[in-house]
Amino acid sequence: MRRIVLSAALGLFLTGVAAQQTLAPDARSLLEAGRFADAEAAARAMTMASPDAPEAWQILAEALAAVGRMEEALEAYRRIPQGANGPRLDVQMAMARIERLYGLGDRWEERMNRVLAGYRARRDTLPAAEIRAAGDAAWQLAREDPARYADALQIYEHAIRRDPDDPSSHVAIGDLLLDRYNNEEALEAYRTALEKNKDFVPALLGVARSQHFDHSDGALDTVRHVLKKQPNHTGAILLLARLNLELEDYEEAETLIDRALSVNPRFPAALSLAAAIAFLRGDDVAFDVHNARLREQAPGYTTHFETLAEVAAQNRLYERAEEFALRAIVLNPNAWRGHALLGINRLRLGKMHAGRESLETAFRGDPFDPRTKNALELLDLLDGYAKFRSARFVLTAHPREMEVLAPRVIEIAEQAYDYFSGVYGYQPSTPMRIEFYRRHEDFSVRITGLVGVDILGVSFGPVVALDSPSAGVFGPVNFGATLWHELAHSFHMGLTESRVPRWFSEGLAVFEERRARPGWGFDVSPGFLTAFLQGRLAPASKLNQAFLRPSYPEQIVHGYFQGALLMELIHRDHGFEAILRMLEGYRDGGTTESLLREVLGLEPTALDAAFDAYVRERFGHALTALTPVTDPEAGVMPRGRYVHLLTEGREALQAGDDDRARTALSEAQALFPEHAGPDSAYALLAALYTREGKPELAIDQLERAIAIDADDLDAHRRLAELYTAAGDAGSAAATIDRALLIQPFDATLYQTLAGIRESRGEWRLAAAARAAVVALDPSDPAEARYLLARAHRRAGDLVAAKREVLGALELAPMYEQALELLLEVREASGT
Amino acid sequence: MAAAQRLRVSGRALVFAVLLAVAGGAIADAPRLVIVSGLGGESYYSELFHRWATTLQDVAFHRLGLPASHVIRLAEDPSRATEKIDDVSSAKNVLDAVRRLAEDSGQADVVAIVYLGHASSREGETKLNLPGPDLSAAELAAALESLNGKTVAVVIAAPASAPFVAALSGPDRIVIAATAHESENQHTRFGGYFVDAFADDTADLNKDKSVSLLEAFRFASKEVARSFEVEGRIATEHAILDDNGDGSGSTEPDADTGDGLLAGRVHLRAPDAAETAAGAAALALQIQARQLVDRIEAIKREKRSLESDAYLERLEDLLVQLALNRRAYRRELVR
Repeated sequence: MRRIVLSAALGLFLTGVAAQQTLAPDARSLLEAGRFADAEAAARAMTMASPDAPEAWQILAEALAAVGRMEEALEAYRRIPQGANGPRLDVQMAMARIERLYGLGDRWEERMNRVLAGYRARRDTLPAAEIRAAGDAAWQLAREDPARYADALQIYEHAIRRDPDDPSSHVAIGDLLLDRYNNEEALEAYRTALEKNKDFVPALLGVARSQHFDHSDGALDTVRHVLKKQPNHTGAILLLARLNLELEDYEEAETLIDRALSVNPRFPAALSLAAAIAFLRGDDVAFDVHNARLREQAPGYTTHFETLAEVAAQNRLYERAEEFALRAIVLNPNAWRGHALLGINRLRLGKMHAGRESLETAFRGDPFDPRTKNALELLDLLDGYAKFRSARFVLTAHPREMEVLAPRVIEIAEQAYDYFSGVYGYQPSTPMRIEFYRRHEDFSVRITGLVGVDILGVSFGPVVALDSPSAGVFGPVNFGATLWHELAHSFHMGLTESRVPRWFSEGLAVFEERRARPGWGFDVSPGFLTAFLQGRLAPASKLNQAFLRPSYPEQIVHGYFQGALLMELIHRDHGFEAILRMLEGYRDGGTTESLLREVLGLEPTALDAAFDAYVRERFGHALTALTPVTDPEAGVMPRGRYVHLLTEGREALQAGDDDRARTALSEAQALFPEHAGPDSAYALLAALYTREGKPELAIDQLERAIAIDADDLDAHRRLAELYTAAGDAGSAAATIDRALLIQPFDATLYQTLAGIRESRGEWRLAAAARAAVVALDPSDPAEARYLLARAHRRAGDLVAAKREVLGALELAPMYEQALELLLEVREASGT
Repeated sequence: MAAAQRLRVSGRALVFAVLLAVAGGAIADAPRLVIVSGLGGESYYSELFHRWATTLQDVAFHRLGLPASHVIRLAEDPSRATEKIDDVSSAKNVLDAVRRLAEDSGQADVVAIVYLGHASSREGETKLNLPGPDLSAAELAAALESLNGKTVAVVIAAPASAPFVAALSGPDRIVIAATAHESENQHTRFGGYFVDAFADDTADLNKDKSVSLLEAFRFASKEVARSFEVEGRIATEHAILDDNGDGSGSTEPDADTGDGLLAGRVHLRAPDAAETAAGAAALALQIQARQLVDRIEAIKREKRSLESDAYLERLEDLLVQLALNRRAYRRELVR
C-alpha cells in the first residue's frame, strides 16, 4: 500500500508521457489485484498528468465500477478519447452493460447495436478486445433474441483468430458455452486460456464455475485458489458463497456475501443471493429488504427471480420455484430461461400439461436451450408411455414393461402410503405420480433437464421417478426398496414443506427401508467400518457434507447408511416421537443445530460422540476384526483378521481345500455376521455346502444372506434352485417372488415360478406369472399365451382363458394343444 | 382339382406339394438342398463355416428327412469330411450344382441353396469368396434362370450380401441375405442361427410341427440381435428377406412390407411318412385344414378393418372348425 501511494503521489510531479509509462502498469496491476482504491488513486494521478491518456481513464472507470460507483464509472468511460475510427467498441460495451444493469439511462440497447454495427463495419481492423466486445453485445442481446448466441460464438472465435494468445477471448467462449450448458467445451476453453496464462484469474474462475456445474468438489479448492490471488474478486467471493449455500451453510454464505458487498455494495448477484438465503431461512422481512435494495440498486438485473427459482428448486422447494419462475416471466415475458424453469418445476410437481405449455413457450423463444429441448423430448416420450391408475397413484412406464411392473409397484406404493400416512400422521394429495424410465438418460433429463445424473431414484414430492430395472446402470437393485425410499421422501417433504435437510431425509428414508422388509436399505460393509476407523466419515452433526460435497468417492453411499444409523440411534434413545418433532421443527424453520438442542438435548459434538459410541456398540466385534493386526502365526494382516480370513477362505475354496475354507469362512462370519453380499462369507459358504452336497446348510447361509442384502440377485437364484431341488416348492416360489423385485424382466424366473405354482395347484398365482411371461416378449409367444390360457382355465377364469387361447391360436392356428383347450373352454362355458 | 390350383397359385409349399402328389397333380418330392461353405481365410472361420454346414447337413438328413440324393454339399476343403462333402466349393462347382438341380428336380419341387461364408464388395460388385475365382451375384442369377418355374430359396449368410437380394429376386423366389446393406461388411452370425432354427422346435412359432423359411429367418434375426445386445454392442448386421419379387428385402417381413407370404409356406422338410400313407379321408381333412388356415390368415389380414368383437367371433368360428378337423384327423391316422 505504502509503495503504491507513494508512486501515485510522485506521479503528480512527472510529465505526462513519463507518468503514463511509469504508472499505467502499476495501476493496471493494482486493478487486477483487486486493490481498487489504490488503482483509482493511481489512475486519477495519471489522468491529472495526462488527461488524454485512454488507459488511465479506462483503469479509473473499471476501478470505480468494481466498487459500485457506476455513475462515476460512466463519466470516466465518457472521458476516454475516441479512436481514429470512432468510439472504441469495448468502451461502448462496458458503458452499455452498466447502463442496462443499473438502470442508468435507456441507451444501452442502442449502444449494443452500435457496437455490433461498428464490428461489422471495421471487423478487419479491430483489435481482439473490441471484437470481443461485439461478442459480448451479441450475447447480451441474445437473452431476448437467442439466434444471436451463434453470432456471439462466431465473433468470439474471430477474436481468437485475431489474437490467439489473448486468454480473455478463450474465457469469453468458455463463459458463453457454460451459459448454454455445454460444460465440456467450456472447460476446454478455460484450459486453453490457462495454457496462454496459467495465472489468468478469469480462466481459473471459469474452471471453478465449470466444476460447480459438474457438482465436482474441486470447485471449492479452485475458487479458494482464485481468492488467494485476488481476495476482492466479487465474482469469486460470490461463487464461494453459492457453494456454501448449497452446503446449507447459510452463515458462511452470508459472511461471504457481506464480504462481496463490502467491495461493491451494489453487486447485484450478491444482493440476489442474499435474498435467496433470506428466503431459505424463512426470513420474510430480510427477503423483502434485499429485493427492494436490488430493485433500487440494479433494476436491470433481470435474472434475480430465475436465481431464486433455481435456488428454491435446489432445495426441493418446487412450489416456490414455480412461483419465482412465474415472477421472472411477469417481469420480463421474454425471460426464456424463466419459462423453462417454470416448465421444469411444474413437471416436477406433476403439472404435466401446464409444464409442457411453459416449455413450449421457452422453446419458441430459445430453441437452443438444451434443458428445454430435452424436457420437451421427454414429454413426447412420456406420451408413448402407458399409464396405470390405482386408488392413490398413477404409474407411468414403458408399455412393454407396464404389465410386469404395475402389480408389484402398485402393491408396494399403496402399502407405503398406508404405512407412512399412519406413522407420520400426514397424507399427501393424491394421485401421486410414479414414473419408471427404461433409459437412464431419460431419467436423468427428468431430474435436471440434462444427462449425467448418477442416482436411480428421485422424489419431487407429488412425483417419484425411478430408473426401471431394465435401465441396468447400477447393477441389480431391489426396486421395491428404492420405491419405498423415494415415497418416504415424499412424505418427509410434504410434512416439512420441503424444509427437511437432505441428510435427515436420506437417513430416515433408509431407516424406513430397513424396517419395511428384511434386507432392504443399505447395510453395513467393511468399507463403511474401515472409513469409520480411519475417521473419514463425515461428522454425524454435519452429515449433509457427505451428500453435498463428499470428501471421498464412497462418502455419499456411506452417508446413506450413516444417516440410517443416526436415525436408529435417535429412535432408540429418544423414540420415534423425537424424529417426528425434528421433522416438524424443520418445517417451522429450525436448523439441525437448534433442533438437536431442542428435541434431543444434544450439542452437535455430543451427537458426534453418541454416534461414535453407537457404532462401536453395534459393530465393535467387526471393528476389531477390521483393525490391522499382526498375528503371531499369520503375520501382518493390514486389513484386519476378517478380510484376511475371507481371502484365505476364498482361495481355499478355489483350490478345493474344503476343510480349510470352511474353517476360515466360518470364523470370518462369526467375526462380522452383518456383512452379506456376493463377496461375503455367506455366499462362499453356500457354494461350499452346495458342493459338499449339504443343501440344508447352503439354504441356511443364503436365507441369512438375503435377509441382510435383498439386492443380491444371484443369492436369490441359487436359493430358489436349492429349494426346488429339495422339493420345497413353497419356499422356492417365495424366493423367486422376492427375486422379481430385483429383476422383474427375467422371463425364466416367471416361467420357473409359474411351474411351481402349477405344480402346487395355485392356478391364480400361476396365471399371474404366465401373464408376466407373455408381457416380456417371449421367444415363443404362442406357447406363452397357451400356457397362460391353461392357467386361467384351471383357475376357473373362462373368459380370460378364451381370450388368451384365441391369442395363441391367432399366432399359431395349427397349435394342437391350444385347439383342444379352445374346445375345452367352450364346453366349460356351455358354448 | 380347383383347390389344388388355388394352392399352386399361392405358392409351392411342401405340404401342398405332398397333397398334390397324392391327389394326382404335379409330382412333388422332398426339397433339394445345396449347402455351400466358402473360404474361411483364417482357421477360425474355416472351422466355423465347416461346423455350420455340417450341422445343416445332419439336420437335413436326420430331422428334415431329406434323402442323401437330395443334398449337395460343397466346401472349401473336402478332405475335412470326405464322406459328407461332395466337392470343393469353387464357383464352377456351385454353378454346376445349380444346373444339375434344374435337371434332377421336378417342377413342383422346392430347391434351396444355402451359402455360409464370407463375401466382399469391390468396385461396386459383391462376390462370394470361394476357392478359386469368386462368384458374383450376376453369375449366380444367370445360373438360377435354369430353375425358373420352381420354388427357389437362396440364403446368402455372408457380409455385404444385401446386393444379392436385388440380383436374385424373382417370381417364386425367396432370397435371404444376412445384411441389409452392402456396407455391413463384418463377419455375420446369421448363418449359424439360421442353421440352428431347423435343429429343434424352438423356431416353430406357428406350431405346425415344421419350421418354415420365414420362421427360420425370424428366429435367426432375433438371435443375432439378442447376441449383440447381450454383448452390449451395436449390431453390425440386419438380415433381409424378399419373396414378393420386388427386389427389395425386408428386415421384418409381414403384410405391411409385402414379404413373407411365400417364405411362410415353404419348408425344407420331406413329406411325413404317416401323412403320405394316410387314406383319402385323412387327406381330405388335411386339405380342409389348410383351407381353414388360409381363411384364418385372410381374416387376420382384415383385422384392422373389422370391429374387435366381429373379428374375434369369426376367428373363433374358424378355429373351432379347425380344432374339430384336427380331432378327426388324429382319429384317421390311428385307424
